[in-house]
Amino acid sequence: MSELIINALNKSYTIDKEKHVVLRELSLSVDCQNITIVLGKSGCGKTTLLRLISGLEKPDSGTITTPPALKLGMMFQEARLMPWLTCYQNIVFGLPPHFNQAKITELIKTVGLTGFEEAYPARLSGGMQQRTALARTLALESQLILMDEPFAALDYFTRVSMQQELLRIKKLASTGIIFVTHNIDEALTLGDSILVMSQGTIAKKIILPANQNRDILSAPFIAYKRAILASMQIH
Amino acid sequence: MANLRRISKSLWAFLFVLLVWQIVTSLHIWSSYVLPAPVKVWETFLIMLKRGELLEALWVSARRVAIGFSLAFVLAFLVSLVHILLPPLSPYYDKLLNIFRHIPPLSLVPLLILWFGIGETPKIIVILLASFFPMLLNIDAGLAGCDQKLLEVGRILHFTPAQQLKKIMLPYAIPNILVGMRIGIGYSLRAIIGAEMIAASSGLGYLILDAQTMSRTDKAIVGIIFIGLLGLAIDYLFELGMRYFLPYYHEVTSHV
Repeated sequence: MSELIINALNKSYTIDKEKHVVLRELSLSVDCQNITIVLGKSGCGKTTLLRLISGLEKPDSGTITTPPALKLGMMFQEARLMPWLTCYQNIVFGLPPHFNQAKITELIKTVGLTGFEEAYPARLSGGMQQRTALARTLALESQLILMDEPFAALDYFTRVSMQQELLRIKKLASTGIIFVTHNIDEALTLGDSILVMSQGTIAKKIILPANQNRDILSAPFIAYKRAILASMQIH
Repeated sequence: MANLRRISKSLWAFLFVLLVWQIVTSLHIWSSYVLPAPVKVWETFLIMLKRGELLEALWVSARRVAIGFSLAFVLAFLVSLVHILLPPLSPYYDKLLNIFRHIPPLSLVPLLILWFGIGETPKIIVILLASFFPMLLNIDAGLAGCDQKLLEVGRILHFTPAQQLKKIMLPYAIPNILVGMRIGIGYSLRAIIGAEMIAASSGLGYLILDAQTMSRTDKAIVGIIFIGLLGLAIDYLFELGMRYFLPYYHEVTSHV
């Protein structure tokens, strides 16, 4: 069983000599083969949780246990492309010199960037930039990808099509995803399980059946939505 | 095509200045010794070109600039690397560097002559001092100002510090480095002319000063205009270099 286990995680920041507790005694376990959603409002600590898992920051106390030799990838809210590299060069940015070019060509096709390989990021739309960032992350063939609101800055239509693409790619590649979002519809569309975060800890865990109909306007989904809102104490 | 049109537009200003200059000299307000006619200056220019004295002076000055500027660039780059890689050391030398930054390089010429004579060394040191600081400040700004968000991408990829420097910080800093070089070469040019006017027997600065002692205003004007054109040519070369090394930068700016 490939599981990521987090035990009693604490993290706080000191801003202007005032201590802000972000995560308190947070414990959870994540199945590394599924899409796990971390859902919560701004400032609830979900980005901090992701940054701790990725190793970009260290916890004050608590442990994060990953499966042995787990390769991690990460996608940020911004595409974070290197402006001096073309789309193609950005995609192979983290790869060793002798990578499989045929695989990359296939990947570029999968994310719909064929024909834009030589374009510099400044020339690409926001959606295309995120596709490039997605391809860069997928090219590494990591077993677990951390995604920090990667589609939040995109317009509604682009966001919906990127969600569908992510689901399609997820079926092709055997990679797990931890996906942070504040968007309930996005959480219900993508998630195999949803962790609702509130005040620095997990308030609720919802597991969606594998054969669940993903229509966000259907009755079961509206029921889920109510349950999520209730657990976040928003009425 | 657009480039040609822009050049032809800028020619009008030159024509205007030449015309006013010609009119003023035809009115004989000042003697031709004080202000020679443009035609006379042009003739002198051709003669100086033919005799080779102009190109020789250019060669001497350019050589000094090339040596001093290259030394300054390497030094600025190394100091900047120490700055970035070993930040705890910087309080020890920061203030000392700052004092030197505020000393006009030309003020050192008397001392330099005492120490090194009037050979090449004092001029090269003056150029080094003149171009070192603008380059240091700009390289520093480029490396230290690297986008933390891009560096995090490197950390996720488990880059070593050397890889972070090579694959993210340096490419990120290239526009700043080129700006620093551009300013540095401009400062070098000013400094070398100054230094050659104080203590030299060759070079463009000496050519102008020598023309004054020989009462050859036309020669002095040729020298001055030549320096201006030299600066223009160097600027143009930098622009070409930027377009070559920074195609993305050009794309970005051309969209604004």
